[in-house]
Amino acid sequence: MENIKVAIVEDNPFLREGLTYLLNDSIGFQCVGAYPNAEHIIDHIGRDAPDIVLMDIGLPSKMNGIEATKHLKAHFPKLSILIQTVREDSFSIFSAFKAGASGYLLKNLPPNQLLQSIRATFEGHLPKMLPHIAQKWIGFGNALSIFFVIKKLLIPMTI
Amino acid sequence: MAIHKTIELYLRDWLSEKQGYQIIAVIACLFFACVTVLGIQAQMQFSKPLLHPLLHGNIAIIVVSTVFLTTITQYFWLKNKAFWYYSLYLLCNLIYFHYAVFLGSAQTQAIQLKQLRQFPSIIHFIFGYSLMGSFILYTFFVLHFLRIRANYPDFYQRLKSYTQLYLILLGLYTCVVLFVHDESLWLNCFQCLLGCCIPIGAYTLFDCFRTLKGRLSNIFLTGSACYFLLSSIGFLYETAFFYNLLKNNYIQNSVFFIQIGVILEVICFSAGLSYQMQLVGIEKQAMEAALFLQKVQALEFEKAWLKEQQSRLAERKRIMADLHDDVQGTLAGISIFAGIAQMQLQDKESKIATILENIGEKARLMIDTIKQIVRSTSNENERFENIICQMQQYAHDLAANQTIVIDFRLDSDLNALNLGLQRNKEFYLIFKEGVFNVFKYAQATQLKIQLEKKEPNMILTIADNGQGFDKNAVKAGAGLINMKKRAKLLGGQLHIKSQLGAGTTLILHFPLQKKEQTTQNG
Repeated sequence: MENIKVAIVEDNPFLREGLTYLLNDSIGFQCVGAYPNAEHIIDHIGRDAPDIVLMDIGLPSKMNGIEATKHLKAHFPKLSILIQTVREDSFSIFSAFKAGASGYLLKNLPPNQLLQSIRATFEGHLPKMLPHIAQKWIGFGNALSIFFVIKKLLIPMTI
Repeated sequence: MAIHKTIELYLRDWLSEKQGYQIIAVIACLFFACVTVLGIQAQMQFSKPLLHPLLHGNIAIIVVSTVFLTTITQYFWLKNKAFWYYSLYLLCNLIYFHYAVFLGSAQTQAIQLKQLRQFPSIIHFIFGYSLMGSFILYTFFVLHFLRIRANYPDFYQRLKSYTQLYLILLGLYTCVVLFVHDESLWLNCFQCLLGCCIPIGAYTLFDCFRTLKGRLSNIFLTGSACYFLLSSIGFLYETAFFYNLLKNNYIQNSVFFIQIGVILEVICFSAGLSYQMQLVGIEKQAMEAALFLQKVQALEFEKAWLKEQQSRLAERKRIMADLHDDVQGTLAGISIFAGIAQMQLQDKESKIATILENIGEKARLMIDTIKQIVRSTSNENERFENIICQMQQYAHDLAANQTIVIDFRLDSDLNALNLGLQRNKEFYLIFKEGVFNVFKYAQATQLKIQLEKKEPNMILTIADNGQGFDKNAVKAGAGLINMKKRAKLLGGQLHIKSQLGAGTTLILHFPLQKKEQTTQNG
């Protein structure tokens, strides 16, 4: 079985290192790049060619994780991006999906569940979401137009 | 001269201010002018002496009535107590003048007068007391006019004792009048005693005037002097008249002098009141300016305070952001590393595996704890969507160890609510207690939680299909009492419906405040 190539965007060096270890030590995963900010991944994504990007929202660069997601999805529509963050507000959740994220994970997720989510995304399924995150996503989506949600949100997700 | 200027100022006021009371005063003037013309015509027809009380009585009545109307309107206009007492004082004088005019006309018919004297009617009584009342009202007027209590405490004490003495004598006189015949010696004695009060009062006032300073007291002094001097002349004149020392009878009684005194005094005091109002206006302006200055200072202080608060808030935000990003990121790293170490262990059941599991678990727990700390210190916590989030998390966490189906039903527009920190807390704690009770006691397999907004109320329903309880048999515990207390704090009510074997339904019902319903979502 081919390894899933994962790129990490995380400003916390300790967590970045940990995630790199985790991916490289787990069977079926390979960390092709770990970047401290959005600019780095944009520069190196052509070279590294990951299948999935694990993206943090709060980044110290000019671009935050959501803007980076938007940028990456515009240039690499087939790329799956999983958001991994500590933020749980509906605005962040909704803008992440609107930008083209395939899933929204919280940082307190145990390592095995994180790996499961990455695999599920790779296989084209939606990663398992916590009920209150899903609730917020749906609730916020309802507040805007359904058309907008289908066009901007669901289509990139099913690719 | 000071008084001249004040009269001029008063006239200028009179002409410049087009207020309602002026119209009333003009109408009153016209009315009394007509009465005067009629009075003069009557005089000429009956060829009475020129200074007959009927005539000068009328003139005095016109002047005093006009000033009375003006002052009483001014009182209702400006709410100055001095005007009130002065107008009442003038009213008493007016009543007395009518009495004097009545006596003057009656004096020509001696028989009628005798009849009047023999019959101490209520009219005599009222008229007599109106004169005495005028003294008391005059004292009150002086107190307010010169603000004696605040400005001249020594004077205030003396005036007080004088008024007390006068009131005691008046009381005794009343007793004598009620029980003694009209023409008895006792009555005359008391009348003399009361008469003595006037020079005593005059002495008190004049003695105290030495301490008074300022234009206001000059005006007052002139007015009072006119009144007391002419009253004294009146009494002297009457005495001389009584002993036939005066041959001409153009001026028939002492009332004439008193009236002239009152007219002079009224003119002085009217000018004084107008001047006082000017002073009040100036004081008011100064006070407004001071208030404005105070407000500006307060505003500046508030601005500085706000700035400080903002910088503190920014600092707090920075610390919170650090906590949020760095610490939580590191904790997530610990969790990941613990996971990696665990995966690399050959023996998954060993003690080290358990320790690693614990480390990972604790790190993840700490992420949640820090999140809660950050939330509780930021405004984010006030947003109702966070409460809903917490509610769902709480219910699902409890359900993790039980086989129970949770049906969470929420109205779509609830996220936009903002109850404020305190009300959020009360609401959440009621929910928490209610759900906890279901998991602890109900042994239910289904739990329905419904939160709906029915303007202007919010309704929370927690219903289970558990074993229920008999409300009469079970005593309300601390939890239930607390819930009811919290419901009361929210301004609402808590109802519990339960039957043995038929589940329990808890309904919280509370009104939303206006500002809570229209908060932006974002």
